[in-house]
Amino acid sequence: MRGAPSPDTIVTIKLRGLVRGMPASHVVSIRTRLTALSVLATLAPVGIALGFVAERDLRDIRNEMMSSSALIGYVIAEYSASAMAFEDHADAERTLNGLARDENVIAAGLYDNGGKLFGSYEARSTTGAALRPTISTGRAAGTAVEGEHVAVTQPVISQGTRYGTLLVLVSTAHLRSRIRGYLLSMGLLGLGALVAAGLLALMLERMVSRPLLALADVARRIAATEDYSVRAASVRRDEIGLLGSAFNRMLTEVDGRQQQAQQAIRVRDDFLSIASHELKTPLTSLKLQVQGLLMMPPASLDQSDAARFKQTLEVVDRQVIRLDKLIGNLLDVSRIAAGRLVIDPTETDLSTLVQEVTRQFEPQLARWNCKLQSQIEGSVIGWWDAPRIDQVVTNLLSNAIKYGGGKPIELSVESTVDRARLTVRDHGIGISVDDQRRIFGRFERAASLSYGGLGLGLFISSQIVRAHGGTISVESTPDVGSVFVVDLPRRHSSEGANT
Amino acid sequence: MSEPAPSWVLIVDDDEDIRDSICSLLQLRGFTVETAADGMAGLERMRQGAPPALVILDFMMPRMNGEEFRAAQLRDPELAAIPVVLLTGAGDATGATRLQVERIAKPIDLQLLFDTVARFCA
Repeated sequence: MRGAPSPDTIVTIKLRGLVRGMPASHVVSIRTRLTALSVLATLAPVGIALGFVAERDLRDIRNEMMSSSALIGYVIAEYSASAMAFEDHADAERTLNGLARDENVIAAGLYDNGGKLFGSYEARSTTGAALRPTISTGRAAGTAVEGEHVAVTQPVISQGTRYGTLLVLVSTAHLRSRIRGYLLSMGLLGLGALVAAGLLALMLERMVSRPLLALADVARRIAATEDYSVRAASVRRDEIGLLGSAFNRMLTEVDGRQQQAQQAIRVRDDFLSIASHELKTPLTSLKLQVQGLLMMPPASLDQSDAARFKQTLEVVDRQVIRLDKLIGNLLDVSRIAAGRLVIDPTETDLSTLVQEVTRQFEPQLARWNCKLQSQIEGSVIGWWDAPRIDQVVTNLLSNAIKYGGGKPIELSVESTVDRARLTVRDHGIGISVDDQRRIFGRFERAASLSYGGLGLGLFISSQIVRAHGGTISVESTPDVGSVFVVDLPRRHSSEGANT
Repeated sequence: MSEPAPSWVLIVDDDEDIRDSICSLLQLRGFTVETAADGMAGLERMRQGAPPALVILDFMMPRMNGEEFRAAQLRDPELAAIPVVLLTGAGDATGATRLQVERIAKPIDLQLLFDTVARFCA
């Protein structure tokens, strides 16, 4: 019994078939399937019953026709025998003319033993079914359907002597009209079934398909507008009504959670905003004092004290700047989260801007003993938010220094008619392919925690570049280095909306 | 209090430390400076005697903020022409853009502050 699969195997095979691809029945709409089912349900039983009745009826009619035709042939042959025996043509014709009483008989002919016509009868209505003047002498006796009529061949015998053959042609028009009638009935029945099925399908669709589509529509609307206050109309008390109320209950739940989440986001954003502002105020004051002291140190200090004083203040100043950047990043994140990152484009020379940023990095580069090779076009003018683009360049350059391991950094600014491109390349630790995908996300960082930082710089930079209608991308190989490319349109289509 | 010199700067900021720092640094640089703790006080001071050559204005202040101050200033024909420089948080340029005035980002770059003030107070 190796060849026969067990029922379990069959079920498994079928399930596998379903899993492999979506079954065809899931692709066809419920509406189409309901219509097809209704047609089948209506047409099949009635059609089968009608076919059965028609077959019985037509067989009966045919049999009856054959036997009555045979009887006619037998009787006429009997009556014609003496006329043939005495070669009385007139008597034979009289006998044959008696067939006029049967409207189904088209024609009849008596043939002598030589096959020649002895006497004939043709119904008045007969057209084109004329008797042949001779018949084959070897024609077998019996009843057979020949074309559009039944032909009865009956030997004319009297007292054991054969005088000839009688041929009677009986019309099958009755049978044919009966068949036509049945075909018409079946056609009408099919049509009726289709109409009935259509109505049934419409009813079923109203009951099943339409409410489901309405539910799907509500879901689509919510997905499009993110308005979770929308509810599905649910007045029914059947299974679909239950589905509708379950759907609405789920929406209420989602709506509640959404509002809670939004409230939480609002509170967090407000807190971040206020906290950042509050942190910035003392920092401003602190920076002013430090800068004031750096610019105008107390006159009473001697030379060595003045040098130490200056050195200390420079450290304080750097740390203030660092703290300010961290706070600035937090503030930016809260702005981005609240959708409040607005850029303010003015006519800006990217080349000058990048050169200024690199100048600010000179002390840091010197500390890391890191060479910066710049290839900057003379002047690249565009409509950009200068402080924001400054932020992007600063972020990319400080990352290149931070993760570049003291190896040379290459920086370039190029332009086309309508775009500007900034490229920052380092030869440091690099970023794995997996990390490359997520480093532009909020709080994401590719390097180990020992490198420090909040993981906000690239996120903010990418958001700033995006707000300018530009793109930022990275190509990197671990232990070889990274290339960051910022591509900016020189004039953004939505620019000026905030000016 | 003696009448200030013809060319003077008005600092309008609610934070006392910032206000006093800017004031003393500008004074050290030889500028004549007056201060006000909010927009309302600033307007009052501007209406007393000779108007300032420049107003250094903070944005977020109680009683009357920078925006309200600027609106009130523009409504007064005697004060409307006085130039204003807005102190704003870094990246928060929209306020200055809306008010159509120059801006200096916080934390303040001292050299930029001196250069700006020098431009208006010859």
